[in-house]
Amino acid sequence: MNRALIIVLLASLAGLLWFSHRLTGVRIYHADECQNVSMARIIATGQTKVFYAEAGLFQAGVLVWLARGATRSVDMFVAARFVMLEIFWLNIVLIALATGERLLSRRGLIALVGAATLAPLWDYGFEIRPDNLLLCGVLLMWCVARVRPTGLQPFFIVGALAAALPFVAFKALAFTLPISAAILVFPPTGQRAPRWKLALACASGALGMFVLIRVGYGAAGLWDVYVANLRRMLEHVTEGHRFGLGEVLGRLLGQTPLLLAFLTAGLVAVAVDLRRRGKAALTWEGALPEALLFLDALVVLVLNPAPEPYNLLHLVPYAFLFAFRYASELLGELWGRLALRPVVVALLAFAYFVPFGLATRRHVGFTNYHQEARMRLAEGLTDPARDPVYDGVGMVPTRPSIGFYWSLPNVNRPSLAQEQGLRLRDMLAAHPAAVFIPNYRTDWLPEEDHAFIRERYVSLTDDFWVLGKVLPAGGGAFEIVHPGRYRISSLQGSDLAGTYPEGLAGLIAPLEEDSFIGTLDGVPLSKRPVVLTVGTHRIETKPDCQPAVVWMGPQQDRMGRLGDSDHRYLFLRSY
Amino acid sequence: MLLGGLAGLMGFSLYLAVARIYQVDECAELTVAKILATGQAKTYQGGIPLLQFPLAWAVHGATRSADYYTAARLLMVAVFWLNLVLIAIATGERLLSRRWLFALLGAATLAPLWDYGFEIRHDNLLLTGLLVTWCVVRVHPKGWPSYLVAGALAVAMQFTAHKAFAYVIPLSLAILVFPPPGHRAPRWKLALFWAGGALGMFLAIRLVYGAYGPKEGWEGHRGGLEFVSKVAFSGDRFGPGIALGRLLGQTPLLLTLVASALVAFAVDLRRRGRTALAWNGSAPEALLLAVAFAALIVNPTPFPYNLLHLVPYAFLFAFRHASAVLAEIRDTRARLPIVCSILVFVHFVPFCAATRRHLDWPNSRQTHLMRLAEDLTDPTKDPVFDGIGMVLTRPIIDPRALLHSLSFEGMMKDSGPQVRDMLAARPAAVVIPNYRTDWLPEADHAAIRGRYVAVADDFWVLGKVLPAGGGTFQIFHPGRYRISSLQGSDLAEGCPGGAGQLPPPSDEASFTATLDGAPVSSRPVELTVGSHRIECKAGYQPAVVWVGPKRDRVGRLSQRDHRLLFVNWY
Repeated sequence: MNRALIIVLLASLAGLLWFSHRLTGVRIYHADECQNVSMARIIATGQTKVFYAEAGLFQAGVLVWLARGATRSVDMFVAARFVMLEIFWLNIVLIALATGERLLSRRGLIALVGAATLAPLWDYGFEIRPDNLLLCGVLLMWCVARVRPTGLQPFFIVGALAAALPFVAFKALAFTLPISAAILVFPPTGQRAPRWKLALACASGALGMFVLIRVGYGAAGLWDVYVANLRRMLEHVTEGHRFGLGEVLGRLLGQTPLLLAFLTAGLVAVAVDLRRRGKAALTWEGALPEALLFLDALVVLVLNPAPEPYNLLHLVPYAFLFAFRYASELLGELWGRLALRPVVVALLAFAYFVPFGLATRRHVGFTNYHQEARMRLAEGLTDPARDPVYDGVGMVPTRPSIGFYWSLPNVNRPSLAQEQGLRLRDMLAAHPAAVFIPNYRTDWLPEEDHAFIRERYVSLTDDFWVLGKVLPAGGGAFEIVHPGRYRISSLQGSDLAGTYPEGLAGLIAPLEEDSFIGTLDGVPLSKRPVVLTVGTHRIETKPDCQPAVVWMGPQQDRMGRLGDSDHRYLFLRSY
Repeated sequence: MLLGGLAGLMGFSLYLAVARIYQVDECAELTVAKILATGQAKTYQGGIPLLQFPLAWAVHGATRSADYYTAARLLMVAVFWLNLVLIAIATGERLLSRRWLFALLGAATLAPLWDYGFEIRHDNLLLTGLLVTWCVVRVHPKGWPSYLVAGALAVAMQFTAHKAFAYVIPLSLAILVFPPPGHRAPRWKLALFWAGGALGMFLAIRLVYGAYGPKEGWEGHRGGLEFVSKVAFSGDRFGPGIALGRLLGQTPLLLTLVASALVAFAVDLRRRGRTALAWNGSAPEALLLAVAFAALIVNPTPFPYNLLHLVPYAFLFAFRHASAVLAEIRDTRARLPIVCSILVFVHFVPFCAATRRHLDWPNSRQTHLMRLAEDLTDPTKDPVFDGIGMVLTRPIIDPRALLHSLSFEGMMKDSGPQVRDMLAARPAAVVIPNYRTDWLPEADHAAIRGRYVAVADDFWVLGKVLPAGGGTFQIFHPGRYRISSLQGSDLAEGCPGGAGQLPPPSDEASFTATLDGAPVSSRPVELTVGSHRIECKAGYQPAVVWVGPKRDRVGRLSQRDHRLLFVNWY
């Protein structure tokens, strides 16, 4: 029985490992991931004075070496995702270790499979976010402080991590301070060293780590960048509109019903125990420390003014740690009664694994193929040094953006540019992007910005616009704001959106052979793209022909048809 | 708390019954009920299942289609609660005891029953019949009276739904061959009473059909059976995956208990052999569930509403097992938090999540369009076409114009008239497009676009938009039409924004035109079948729009995608 169970557990883990590997490669990128990779690229290429970048330990440490040598955006994203996959599985192993079980035991494997089937972790656990590194640090702290607390070494590590984690994400303080305080004020059972020694070890670790980080930042020239970001964040922490926990907690109801059941029952059990035993119940024995860790995480989530669903990364693992301790005691007892075994197994299957399967299966329907195609297309149309690309999220990190305050944040707070009183249309006027990629975040820009974009750009498809102009029939004068190669053709042969049938029919229909005859600034046009300089130009053609001027970039001669798309689905806020 | 919960659920079910979107099958059921209620059954050529008789009684006297639907839904919500009470009784718990109330609450929170349980479908009445049979034979065995009732119901159910035989035959065989011990009567006597009940019911139904049903009533039933068998052996089959997949998200605790109970039953069977198959354990419920599951598997078209014939039996089986499991947990009081938490998060929360979604699917658009179609038409002279029969109070263009998923392909292959021919022979004044009319071939759509104008994507009326300056147009159906500029016409084409109740356009007063040489007033005009001509100023594009016998204009209608008028299996 034991052997069969271990084989099943190992096979399940292998299957999960394979599936996570597959999802990592193909799952849709979140806008936040693009921003993190772009910021890492900015740091890696030493452009922090030109473009805004958050220089946390995640961007400046983990991601920066991936972003340094890459020449294609896709390579950066794929590499970053696979690093995150490793962190994801490291976190799962740490969760299993933090349950207190021996990893290579049967119970340890059960804990590992349980942690690996927490659906919310699969939603965000291998996304390119600092939160995953933060989770890793907090779990490591918990493992050394709670699971192996003997000697001074754990306190030294706790101190070091307490100093390092705020450099990953400032909200780390909400976890590191209570954990550090708890183990210093109430040293875990079995700890024989005097409290002052423990405090000293902790302080040494913190000081050592701080000095190390300070030196590292100083050597990289990023200390000022980090401090400026931190100051800006603290100044604007209260801005933006708050929203409630409904969306984030609502997900748990469908994704983790059994976890919630054990959690609730466990909390009731702890409350009853506290009431019955009073202060004697406040020990490191039992599940009380995990209950307090979970409650701390819940308070942090409640206080978060913008609890986006990815914040479940800082709730669900702690809920699991608590629920596991409660459940292992309860189920251990029920397992002893033969008649109850089928119901226990069936409950695990239908109330834990099936909801996980249903929740995780949906990711297969949301791939990054379209995003990667757009990245490649934008790169094919631009020069890495001269031609900016703008999308507000940094989807094409190998190309420069249009200004220092390039990033559009999530809906809950004003953009960096808005904070500085800047307008996107002015930024685009000063540094015109050759390619504009609209998405749900650019939809939040004011109508004046959209009008400006419509004036200067032409749509190849709904989520891909390039510099250009459609002129009236017979031609006319037009303004070039960014020098480079442009194709001049009739509107019908321009490949612009709306010039060919919708759907597959438009894609399979042969390209319109362009028989455009006209002059540019009085000179007859050939069929090849022309290099246009900044300034006013004039096209003249037959009165029944409507000319179109479309950016081609350094290499392309013609775009071809891109087909239908909807810019609102290029990125999804959540699904 | 249990009573409060039940009261809340009852109130919510009443609200949903009245407000929830109607399914196409419900329209089909009510079309037949209306025929029966209005005394036209004698000339009806199809079969009239038994459900139509109570439905006809419930909708009797209704003059508006929306009233038909509301009355029928209220009848069905009564059937829904009757079924829930029967499920609770069938668990074997003492009536009105705390455990019985608990069983009732459990049954009343089975999400799939809320999906289809108060829809106007014969399956709900079939479920009633099966549950009553189970109650009288298995739970409260009273000897020959039980068998008399069971025999009568066996016949009645076959007249309720053709598929009833899949449940009735195994159940009847089981109780006749292995009578439950509580009946205390010889097998031959019970069989005799069963046959007596069956014969009595058959005669009663024959008399009722003779008095109220179609002259060719038996032909209708035979035709129905032929249709069912044709579908069973056609290529339209699909698997039960869609139906069963729903259970994973909606009833995790039920599945847990069923799986566990099956293991327990198998272990018991292995241990005790044939003695485990006695009536005193959970073997009868296990076999009932097995029969229901087999019926779902062999069903060639197991649409999700067929869960109505699986979930209640799964509940009966699971409830008995759950009682045994709870008895096994000796220190139940100490385990109360986990038991309650599991009930809340693994049963009630999935139920709430599944049932709450119905609030996003109201029938307000459907009832609005029904009323508008009725306001624009005469009950005898002006047909309405929607391929479904949603507007019950108005004639249909042809019985063959009711589009059904299982017969549509045959209709297209058939050499008989197509919808465009039917519309040409008997033009509908109003066309209500929906997902079923989307199945029609392009030629039918072209014919509709040629003769009808869109007030909204899901509401079209007879009419024509003419070129600027006017022109000649054809009237196919006599009646009152409004002639105006396109901008003042209330047509979707005339208000590009598509917004709802917009203020009347300002150019109405300045629109002047002549119809067949006579000046057009702002009031609708009576047009006869044939060719007519409108002339107006070159800057105006005139529109001729059907307004029917009473209205002076159609009025603006908010825009809505016609594919969402009816939605299947949301």
